Amino acid sequence: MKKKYIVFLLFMSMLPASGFAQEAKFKALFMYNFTKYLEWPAARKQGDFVIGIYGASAITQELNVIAGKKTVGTQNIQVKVVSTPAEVGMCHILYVPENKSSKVPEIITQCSGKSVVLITDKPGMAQTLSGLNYVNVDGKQSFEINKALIEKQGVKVNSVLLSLGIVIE
Amino acid sequence: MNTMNTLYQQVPGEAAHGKTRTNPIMHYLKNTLRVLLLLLCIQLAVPQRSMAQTAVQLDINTMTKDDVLKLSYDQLLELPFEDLLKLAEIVGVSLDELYEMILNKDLVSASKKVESSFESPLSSSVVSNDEMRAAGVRTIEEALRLVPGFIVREKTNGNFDAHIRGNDNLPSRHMFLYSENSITLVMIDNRPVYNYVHGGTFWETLPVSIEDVDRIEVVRGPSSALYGPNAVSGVVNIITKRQDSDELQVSGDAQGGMQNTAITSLALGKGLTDKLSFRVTGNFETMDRNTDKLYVHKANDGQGGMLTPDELAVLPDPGNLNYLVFDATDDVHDMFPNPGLSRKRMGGNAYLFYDVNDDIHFDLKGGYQNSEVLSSTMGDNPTALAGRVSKTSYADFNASVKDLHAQISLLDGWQDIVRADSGFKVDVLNLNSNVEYDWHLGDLSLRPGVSYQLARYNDTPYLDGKPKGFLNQEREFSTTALSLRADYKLFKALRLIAAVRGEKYSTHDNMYLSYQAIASYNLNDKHHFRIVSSRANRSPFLVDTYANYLWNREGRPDPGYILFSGQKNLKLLTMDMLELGYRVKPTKKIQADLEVFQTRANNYGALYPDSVNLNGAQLRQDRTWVRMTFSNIDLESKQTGATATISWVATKDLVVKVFGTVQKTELTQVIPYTQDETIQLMLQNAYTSYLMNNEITHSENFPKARIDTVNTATPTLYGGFMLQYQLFDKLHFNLNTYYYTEQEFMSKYGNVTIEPKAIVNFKVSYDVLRNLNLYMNARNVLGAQKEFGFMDDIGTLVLFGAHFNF
Repeated sequence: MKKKYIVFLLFMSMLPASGFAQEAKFKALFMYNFTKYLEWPAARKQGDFVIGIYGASAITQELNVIAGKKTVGTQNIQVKVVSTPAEVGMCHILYVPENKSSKVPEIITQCSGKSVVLITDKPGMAQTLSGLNYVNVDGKQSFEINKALIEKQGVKVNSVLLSLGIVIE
Repeated sequence: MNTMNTLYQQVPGEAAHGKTRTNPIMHYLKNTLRVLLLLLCIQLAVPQRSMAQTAVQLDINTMTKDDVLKLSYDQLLELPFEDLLKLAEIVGVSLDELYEMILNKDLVSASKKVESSFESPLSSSVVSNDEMRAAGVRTIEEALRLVPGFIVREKTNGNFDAHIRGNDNLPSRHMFLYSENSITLVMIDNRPVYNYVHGGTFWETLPVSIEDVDRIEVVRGPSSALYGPNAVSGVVNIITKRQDSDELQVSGDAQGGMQNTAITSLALGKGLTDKLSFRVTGNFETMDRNTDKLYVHKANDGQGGMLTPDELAVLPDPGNLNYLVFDATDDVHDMFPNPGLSRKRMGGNAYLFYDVNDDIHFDLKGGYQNSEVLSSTMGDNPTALAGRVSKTSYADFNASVKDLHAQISLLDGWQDIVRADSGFKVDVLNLNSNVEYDWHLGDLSLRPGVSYQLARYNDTPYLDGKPKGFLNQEREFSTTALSLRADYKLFKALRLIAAVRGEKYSTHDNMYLSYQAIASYNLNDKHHFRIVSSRANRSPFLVDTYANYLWNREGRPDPGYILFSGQKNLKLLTMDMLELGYRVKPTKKIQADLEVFQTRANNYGALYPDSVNLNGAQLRQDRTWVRMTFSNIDLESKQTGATATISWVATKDLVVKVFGTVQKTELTQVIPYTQDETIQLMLQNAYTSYLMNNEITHSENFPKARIDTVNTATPTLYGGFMLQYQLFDKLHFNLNTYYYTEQEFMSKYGNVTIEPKAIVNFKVSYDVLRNLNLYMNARNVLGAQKEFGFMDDIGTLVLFGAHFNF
């Protein structure tokens, strides 16, 4: 397993950006599916359901397609690109791309107590920082889930979601 | 299996048309009622049938990646998350795709847009940073040994001669200067780093190290239509890394070992804001020769000897009368202050990236380098080696606004091209600018462009007011160019490219035209064919155009004085090429590339005597003098050859690459004399005239003899082999070999036969931590051997080092 991971890292460094078009699409689809297994407090079930993207990311375009087709419960989906930690409090979900991972500690401070589910995209982030974290295992897209960190934000986690991801205790 | 056909339940088709004639209205009503009943039954049997339930019909377990990619967003959105996860596995990057990415890297230099190596319309190669590190190359020019079609020879420790497909040492039997590669354009991020004094590339003056480099792209064949003058045999484009993360990233490498070799580099980068990021890099290296003696030529037989600078300084020695001596005004110890040092350089670079959005990017780069090397002389010295010292800095601004691309760069500094030899130190100022626009018209794309270049050199600050330089004033030439490239796709498989570039040099009355005409055909994703016809030319050089130098040769054999002159409107070396190429992927793990080429080059130029005078009435009364002028010669080169490359990813742990070039270069109209022999023949001619009529002491009768021959300076066969193997989790092994057959270096000082040889290198590395790698790097393990005429015997070098990346 570890050997494969090292080889994969070596090869990943050669991958052109164009090779990841499907990756962004599936990450967006995952994100929409997360909402089926998460329950936000009643106060946050009004108005639009805001999915925030921190900075530029190919995932934004994919989420806009989904937002035009689906809702979260009765809430319309609004995709919002945010550029400063101060803007993240309005989000139900906030996605932080790998190249913005350095901002995560500051973002967490801004999210505290605002029922924001943080989704990151870097190995190790779900250990202590984010509730959901995209990972690539041998070239296959998957996700890590840290139930405690999500529920700390006041959002409930359906146990089915735990069975689908890699649980981080 | 076409899984898409199984996505939805088949709607039962209508019954076959009956043959019995019925009332059409009744028939319509009956059929309509039948359909309504059928729909009602379906509705009752399967209430609330939705897209999601339809999708349940998907056989997830048998779907291929292509099947998944054909699914619509609507279908994907209705899938249960569990099924979506399985589909994500199917579209994930498979090992086969990873193999494809190793074999078939992207490049931009062949078409000025991103395309796969397999579909590149020109003969081209990419060497990634990973490959360079794995192979243990110490310098960028050594990395060219990993590139098919390159002849690379080490002159002194760490200093290389590098030619694309040869055509080197022309004209032969002349100065070392004419063995320099002046027909390949080297660029860093599209910024030319060319020496416009004599032509060629001073590799040590590149400010970047391997730590800066993302990849090296090489295009073989005339490419002036793409990149301007001097891309005659091809282009080397060194692409530096970009900062792609907000986080602070630090990486570095340090290795050291035999011959006091130390090579270090450090890079750090960080995103400052969402749009602004930077990288800063630094590098330092020092390498010693394996001797502190210098090869000194002898006057008549070319078989010189190795002397120390102290021994050189006391020449002429009664016991060594045949050795050539330096001019009386030259101080040998100033010229060779550290004769044991091969290469010492330091460089620093700063990169600022401003990415407004996906379509708008601005890059600002700047840097500085300070270098000195001991390598083959660019002058006409008694020693084969000479020092070269440079201090230069650069700025490079690149803007890309949607389809508009603009670049302007400036290089400033000084270069002492033959260290401490009077007249060779110059101030340098090079300006390069261009604007191009991508105009997309369906399957046709047009790329018009305009370019302006300026090369300005000035030797007067270093002449103490005396006319002892080559230029003896500030001189410059400019190049204004217009270009147009048309790229048309016909039926998706056939691609037609036509590129033309017209250049007007301020030193020339006429315009020069270069072009490329290319047709490439993708039979399918396994076979790619191409045919290329192209023309390219070299630019003027400052010395060729403006040389104005009187050389007092006191203490040397005749002539007593040589007056060097340049001239404008010299015909510029031009090469035409016809090339056929074929790439094939017989399996997912193998890619092969074959290119067959024929080139014809003419308009060579060199320094030759155009007149001699026995008594030098115009200059001196006592000694002979010669006027030497940079002139065109009738020499023509016709090269026919083929390069084959096979890359094989045997397993994910084992990658093998083998390549080789076989070629023959036929020369016509070769002057069969050395420069000195030509002078002597002309002096004899003048003396004969003097004896016959007692008046004429002057001759302009250049010897007329010419011969046709084969250029043996370029080996008939050359190439390389690389094997990369991961022994286990943390241990990596790389074996790479570069080989060539016999060749003969021919200079005015004599000929040297270089024996066939294989240069074997290997590197073993171990991942101590995920971000820290320790290694042993062994170069040229077969021992001391000479790779270039009159240069050093290149010995084995064992280095130990560490690479980190946090």
